[in-house]
Amino acid sequence: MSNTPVQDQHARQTELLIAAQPLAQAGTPESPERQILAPWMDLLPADQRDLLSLLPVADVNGALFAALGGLERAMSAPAPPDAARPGTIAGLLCVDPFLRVHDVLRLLNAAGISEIANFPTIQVVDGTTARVFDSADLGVKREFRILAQFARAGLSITGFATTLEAAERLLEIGTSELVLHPGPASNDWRARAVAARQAEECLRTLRPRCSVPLRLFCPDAFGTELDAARALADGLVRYA
Amino acid sequence: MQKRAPGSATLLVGGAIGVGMTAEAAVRGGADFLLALNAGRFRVMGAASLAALLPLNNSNSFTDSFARREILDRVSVPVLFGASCFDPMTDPEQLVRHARAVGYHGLTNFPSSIHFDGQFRKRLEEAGLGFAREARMLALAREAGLMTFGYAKTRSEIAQLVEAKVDMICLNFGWNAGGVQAVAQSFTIAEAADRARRIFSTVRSSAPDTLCFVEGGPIINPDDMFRVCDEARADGYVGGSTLDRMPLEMSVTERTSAFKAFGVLKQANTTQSRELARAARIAGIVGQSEFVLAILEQITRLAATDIAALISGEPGLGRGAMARALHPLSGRTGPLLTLRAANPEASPEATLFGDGPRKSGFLSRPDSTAVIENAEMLSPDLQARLADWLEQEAQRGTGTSQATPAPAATARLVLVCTAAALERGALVPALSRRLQAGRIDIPPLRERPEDVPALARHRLEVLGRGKQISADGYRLLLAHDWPGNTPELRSVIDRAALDSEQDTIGSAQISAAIGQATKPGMAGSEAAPQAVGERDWLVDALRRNRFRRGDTAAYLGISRKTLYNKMRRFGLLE
Repeated sequence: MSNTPVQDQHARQTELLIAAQPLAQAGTPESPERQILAPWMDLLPADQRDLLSLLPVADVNGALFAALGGLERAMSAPAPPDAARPGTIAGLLCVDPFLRVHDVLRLLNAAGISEIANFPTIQVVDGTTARVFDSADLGVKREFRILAQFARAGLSITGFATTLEAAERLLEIGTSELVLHPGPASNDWRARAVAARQAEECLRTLRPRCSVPLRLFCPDAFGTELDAARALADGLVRYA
Repeated sequence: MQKRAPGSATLLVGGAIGVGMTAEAAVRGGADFLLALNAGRFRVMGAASLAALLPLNNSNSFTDSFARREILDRVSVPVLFGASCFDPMTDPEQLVRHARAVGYHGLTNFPSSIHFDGQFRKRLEEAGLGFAREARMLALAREAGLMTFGYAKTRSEIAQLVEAKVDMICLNFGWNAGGVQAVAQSFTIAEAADRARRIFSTVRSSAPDTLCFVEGGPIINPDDMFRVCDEARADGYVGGSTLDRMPLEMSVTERTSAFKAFGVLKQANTTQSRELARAARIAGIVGQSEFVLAILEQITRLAATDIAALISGEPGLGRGAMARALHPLSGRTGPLLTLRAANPEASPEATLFGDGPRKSGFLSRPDSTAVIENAEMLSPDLQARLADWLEQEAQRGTGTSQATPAPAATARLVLVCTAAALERGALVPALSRRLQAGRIDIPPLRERPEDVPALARHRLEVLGRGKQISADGYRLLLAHDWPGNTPELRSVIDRAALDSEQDTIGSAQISAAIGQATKPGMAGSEAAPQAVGERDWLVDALRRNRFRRGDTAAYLGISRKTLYNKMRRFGLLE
């Protein structure tokens, strides 16, 4: 394993974009950008989507399913699958207690998508709340369990992690690339600096033991605080 | 609604619900008002209340939709709309206008930022989507003439509600403990009562007309509610899971079980079922799992033959009783003979084969059944001799799978072994092979938890005091591993029935009885892993906050005193 960032597959040069609509050029030979499809972004104000994507303001998974043609349609009439979308990653809220992996697999298959990401991730919720979510089986453990089910079904996983522990768990599951998530940006530059420093430390620690691309998620409100972490990452993830 | 008069035992009760059927039932039960909350809807959909905080829909549209169709105008008490202030695109003014226009009697702040803490909560507050926005919405609602019910968890939040002149303040202790989907708790009942007493004392001094309510956390039954309300001089209680999910779980479980049992009784009319029922009665087997039915069928089939039997399982599963039951079930007219191989004074070989001073051994007694308990203690030589004897019997024409109407010339051999002994090969291969056809493995109780309620109910019937067990109690029984199997369960039920002064045995009595029946640190104890988890959580929080207690307490959303108490409880003060 290398101690230097992964250099191949345009990883260092290309960004992984999170977008509400399919990007026309994503995954094409001419333009190999990849995207995380997150249709809920259209439902939420841009400046607060890192928070709101985890609050009862919109149906995050429902927006994705609707954009892909709807669960009912995929279940009732097995239409010929769409053309494969190699550059498109479906962003899923894995802790949705009503999510049925079997149905989602059928929908993704019909839509020609073979990659998913745990985005938005429940890892962003911290403190005692995180513990309570876990004890109700709506927390991080459920997120990883659902991701593992998708991985076993043959889907490629882009794993978002807010901590080193979460990153290690995602590597165990077999994530094909890892995205360090610094959490929602604070208005306070000191809090952003602490979050950026933690992301940087995570990247440093993971680098020697990680053979998959290590990316860094850069929420809009982060600025130069993330520069050191950016330099360590194989690529960035940002909102389109 | 009136404040509770000093010394009055009558409390106001609010129902936090999410479906028409529950709303009407709560009102029939005397609920003074209803809160239409998305959490109530998620509960009846099978999710935990906590799903109310997840991005599964727009909470306000979702709640409004079911409340208008199923609750408003259908009940005779005020209905308050559970309004979320998380959506920056919907101003508090809009929410208040909407609630008035639709015909709600009031507003409450749910789902609320109070359920978040840590960095996420800080970000919410920074974004202007936190508690101040909720307090403002409630203040606007009050100005608009709506009833206002404010949820809060901390002193600071309570102070904001008092400033907003909210009509009813509810001190929330977190998500409920009871039932199948219980969540981890921060407070005990005593801590909750103490906290409510101190906080409500402050509220009364500054806003004497405000009604004070408690909700959630460790309060899972009327006893808990009354204790907290009484100590805190609260005016009332709001129940969510305690009014719908927990009673629903209990009643559906019990009714289904009753229908299931009725079906089994009807089936007993058939010959086969009558035989199974007789086998269960004679062998003392209780349960309704597939395991139990399979074992009963095995015993019934085995009883109709002369095949030698091997019954294995952990201690405490009734292996001996089952072995002895084969005798009456098979209709043998000879004696039932039992040899305890573990008895140091026993002479197994002489007893079985009649060697030495005995003229005839157990095995030569016509139409008898010879049960050998602790068969793993037999010497290898004797085991080999038993294998030879079984082989000879097979060649003589006995030991077939056909029923033998004529009396058998010899005994049927039944060996009883522990599962662990069989696993380590305590029986010689020749004997083990000869016994395979008649082998019955009784699974331990932990592998068939569905039999636990039936065993518990059976024990209560034996005790004959007409008691029943609450859904919480069943949850604890089902969660326990029962390393001591049936005797341990009997002991727990006996103890819990003794401790319970009411007709329903609650989780407190079951928990205490399990604690007494289980040695500290013993595998299967439910309390141990929870305690370890909480300690780890505490240590993690302390580390994250560089062991600064004030910061850690704030991070965890608990008081410094509670943090100190928890640290002391987990030995973290040294």
